[in-house]
Amino acid sequence: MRFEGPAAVAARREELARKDPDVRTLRVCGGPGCLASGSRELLAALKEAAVASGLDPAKRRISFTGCLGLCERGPLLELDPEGHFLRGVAPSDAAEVVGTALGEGKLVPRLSPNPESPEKESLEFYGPQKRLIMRRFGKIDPESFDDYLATGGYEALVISLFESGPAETLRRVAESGLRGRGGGGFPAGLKWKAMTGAKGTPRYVLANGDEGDPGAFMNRSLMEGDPLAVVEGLTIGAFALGAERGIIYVRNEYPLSVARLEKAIAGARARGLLGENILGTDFSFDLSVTEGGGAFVCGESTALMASIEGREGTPRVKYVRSTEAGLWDKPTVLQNVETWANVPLIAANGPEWFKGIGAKGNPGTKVFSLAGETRNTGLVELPLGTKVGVLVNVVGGGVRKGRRFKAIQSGGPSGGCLPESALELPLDFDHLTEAGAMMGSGGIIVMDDLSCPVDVARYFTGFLAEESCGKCVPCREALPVLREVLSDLTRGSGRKGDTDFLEKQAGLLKETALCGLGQSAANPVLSTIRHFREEYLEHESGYCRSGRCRGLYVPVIDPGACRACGSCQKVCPAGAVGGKKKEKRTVAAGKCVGCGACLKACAFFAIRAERKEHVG
Amino acid sequence: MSGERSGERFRDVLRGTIDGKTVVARRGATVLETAESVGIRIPTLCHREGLPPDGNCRLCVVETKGKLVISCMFPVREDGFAILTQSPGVREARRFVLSLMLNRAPKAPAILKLAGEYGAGADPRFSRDPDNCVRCGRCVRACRANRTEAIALVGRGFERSVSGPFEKPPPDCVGCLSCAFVCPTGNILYSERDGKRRIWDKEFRLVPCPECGTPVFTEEQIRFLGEKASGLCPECGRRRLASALRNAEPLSGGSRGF
Amino acid sequence: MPKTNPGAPEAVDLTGLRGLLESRPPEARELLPLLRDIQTRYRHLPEEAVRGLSEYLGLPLARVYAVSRFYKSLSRVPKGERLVKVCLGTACHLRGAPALLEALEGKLGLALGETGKDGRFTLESVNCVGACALAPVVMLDDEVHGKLNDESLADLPL
Repeated sequence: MRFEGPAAVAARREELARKDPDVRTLRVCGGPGCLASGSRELLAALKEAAVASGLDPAKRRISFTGCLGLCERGPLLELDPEGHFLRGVAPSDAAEVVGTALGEGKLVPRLSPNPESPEKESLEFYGPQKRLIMRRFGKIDPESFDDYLATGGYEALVISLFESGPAETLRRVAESGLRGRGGGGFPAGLKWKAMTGAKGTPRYVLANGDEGDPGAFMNRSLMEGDPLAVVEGLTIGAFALGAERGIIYVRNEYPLSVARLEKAIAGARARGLLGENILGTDFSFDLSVTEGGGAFVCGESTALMASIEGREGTPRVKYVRSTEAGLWDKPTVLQNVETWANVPLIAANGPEWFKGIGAKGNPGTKVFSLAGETRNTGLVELPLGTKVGVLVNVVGGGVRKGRRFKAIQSGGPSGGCLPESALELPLDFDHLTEAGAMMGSGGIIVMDDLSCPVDVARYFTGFLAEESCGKCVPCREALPVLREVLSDLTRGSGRKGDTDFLEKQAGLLKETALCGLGQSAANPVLSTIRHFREEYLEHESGYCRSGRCRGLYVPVIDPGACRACGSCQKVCPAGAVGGKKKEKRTVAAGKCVGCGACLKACAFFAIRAERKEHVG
Repeated sequence: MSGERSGERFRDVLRGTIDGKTVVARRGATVLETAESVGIRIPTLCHREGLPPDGNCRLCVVETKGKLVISCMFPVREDGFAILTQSPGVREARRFVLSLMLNRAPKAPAILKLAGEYGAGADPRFSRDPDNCVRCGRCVRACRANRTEAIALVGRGFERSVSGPFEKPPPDCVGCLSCAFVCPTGNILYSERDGKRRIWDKEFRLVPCPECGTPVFTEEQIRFLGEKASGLCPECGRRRLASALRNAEPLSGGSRGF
Repeated sequence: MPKTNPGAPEAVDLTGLRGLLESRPPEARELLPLLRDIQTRYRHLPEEAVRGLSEYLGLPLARVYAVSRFYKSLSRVPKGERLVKVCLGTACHLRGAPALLEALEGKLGLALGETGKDGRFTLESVNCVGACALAPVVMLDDEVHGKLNDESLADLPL
């Protein structure tokens, strides 16, 4: 099984390519969204149906594959090689899907979102996307080493080992302009160069898979959809940087990621692609997986290393870089798993190719998780620099139920909220930071006019106060203060001047906190005040125009817009909506409990959240 | 970590300014050390000579290149460094952290004194259950420096507090009082009576010196120190202990509670 | 003065602890993995097991204890046979997770973080399970249930 040199790898890849062209594979999306929609049960039903219909399992295959993206319509399927894309497939469809699709390679029209053009690329959701990191999602079984090899896997390592050498490999990565995908966008090349100048052994390469942002699942999808890309990236990095050990640190809530990575590592080791004398060279490198324990702060680089070392995951003051004194005080390069997955692409295709994708200063693609109030939600990969509006209105298909777009929240708890003007903003590290948000790991939440920026700030600040490690004074003591003021504002007990107070305190938190996460913990407050100050001031006086904060508004039905459909009456839990069938409805302010159900239910936008004092 | 690293043994001498005053610094020395060497005082709280720096209180911030850094750990690395220890931004940051600490320890003399200097005040809207501890971890670091490591900062976020394992009397505590000596708010109480010492809900028998009879060490301490402590008279022992603790004189009347 | 709290020792059968510890080498880096192993085996971290771990690794008990209290997946009190985790991720928050949590608290008679007296359920929150498109979601052990509302909540096998 062991590959003794590059020729053996190439030979095996050729052998795989030569295999029967008559093979057809049904790939079931195994992304987190589809698993939640029951794709595991679907896979079992399909396999059962295939056995029942007597198909040759060598030629008619069924397997899981990485996230296909359009999570909301799951479970999703893709038929290889036809490229037919099916959505919303239930176990009860198994027999038909096996017979028609797998057996005959024909489309099942009722399960296709677009029977005229049954490939997924024809959908607006996929149109603007460029799937590089996700290129194998839908094409391979993530647990199959052969699938990875057959789709170009380990070509990059062979090029690095036998053509480029360490210096050229490092040059490629440095000149590509690749920036860290985990948050700050720090140039990977600078880190790599710093490590080459550092003394000490052993040297480490680490991958951060501790995706802790609420509303983010791209790292998980990568580790589960193409784990060997991360492994190969780390191996190439280790070769260029002279590292002999690597560790992938995975969030504890991701057991499947751990299992897939461990299988990938075992597969690579068995083939001589990890361990001693890789591919017969004198380069030796090995890799293992460490699971987190459930602490958001461990996404911070020094906290992550502390956690691996068997200590509490508290960050330390970083006046000495990890590239000099990182894990166990040895030279260490730590990058997000997505950053590592870019490395094989760059090592094989060169920096010029990479710079041709994305925007100036922001080359390449980025995987985003799109969630919230757009019609389509799911996992998306776009060239950096794509306009936010393209993500929201084309990929996302616009805001659901025809409601009005209000804001995007980008970068999770470290990021910020941006208003409508953000639709014109290019999605890249610099523009988002400039606007007061952050790329973060790539979570994008779309908010409609019923979402309240003060409530969102309270949500994130509450999350951060809960997850603060408690080491430094500003983060430990100021976040609960911010949370309390924000809670007062959303409960109607805010005070005049609270907005200015919050802005001041958050500004000081940003300047004085010990670690990057503590500093960016101010962003949710700062960005919402910057872009939605008026709404904050309204909350000071007890009014929430979004109809989100209970008790801070009264719903008022505009008789001119009401179509007398009665849907508001149906959802009202308090019997506060009055009016008979076919009559325009009214709200009895005294009975209203402020749940906001009517506001959401009205399809004609006839209900406004009014200031209490304005209602008789 | 920076202070311990051997890569900074360079003898280079760097020139720069602190508050406009020309200063000579050793490469790799902290800003705090450098400032102190020329008599410029920077307020500190979690920092203590002899204990590894931790940088958690943020009180010793100074400004360089328009950014705030903490002087107890920030190393002087280049010629022409320019540091401000009393800029408006620095003073505001110190006022901020002192106000936050006052929410926890509104009566601690050391903090009140600094708060007065910087115009910081506790906000009654946010101070609840003040327990007089600012979580600086000096006690924990002192205990670790002694290699007893009997107590720790436990829990996270606002709930973090100093504690023995399982919130019980710490089994590894030898009653040496290092923690009480280094506490900046005088929050770690102990008592000595009838040849016994109580701290952390644990009682220790004190061993009198065969020469003069002064009880200095606990039995546990002698057992822990082993050879190092034997055959010493209490005064020698005291000196030995003092050097082991490095500068462990009581702060702000730390021995309350007799 | 920080408080100490002498409690009664718990009665947990710790046979097999030795073997569990020895499944990993006695190195500091194995601290978190071993704590997780203990949590999995006993559904919580029995005091005696934490002491045993400190001895096995040769690390101070105070440090081992502090690490055991730092991570959310480790628990001092036994968890229920089934874990009910309400996702409080951003997408779920916007789509009604707070109301869903309230409803679940009522249904189970448990506050967030509590385990029932009968030991059947523990109600917890989780920050994101990567099923944002199906928000709001609840996890029953490893199973994700999405797009929950009052009606579908009633259908949860609880």
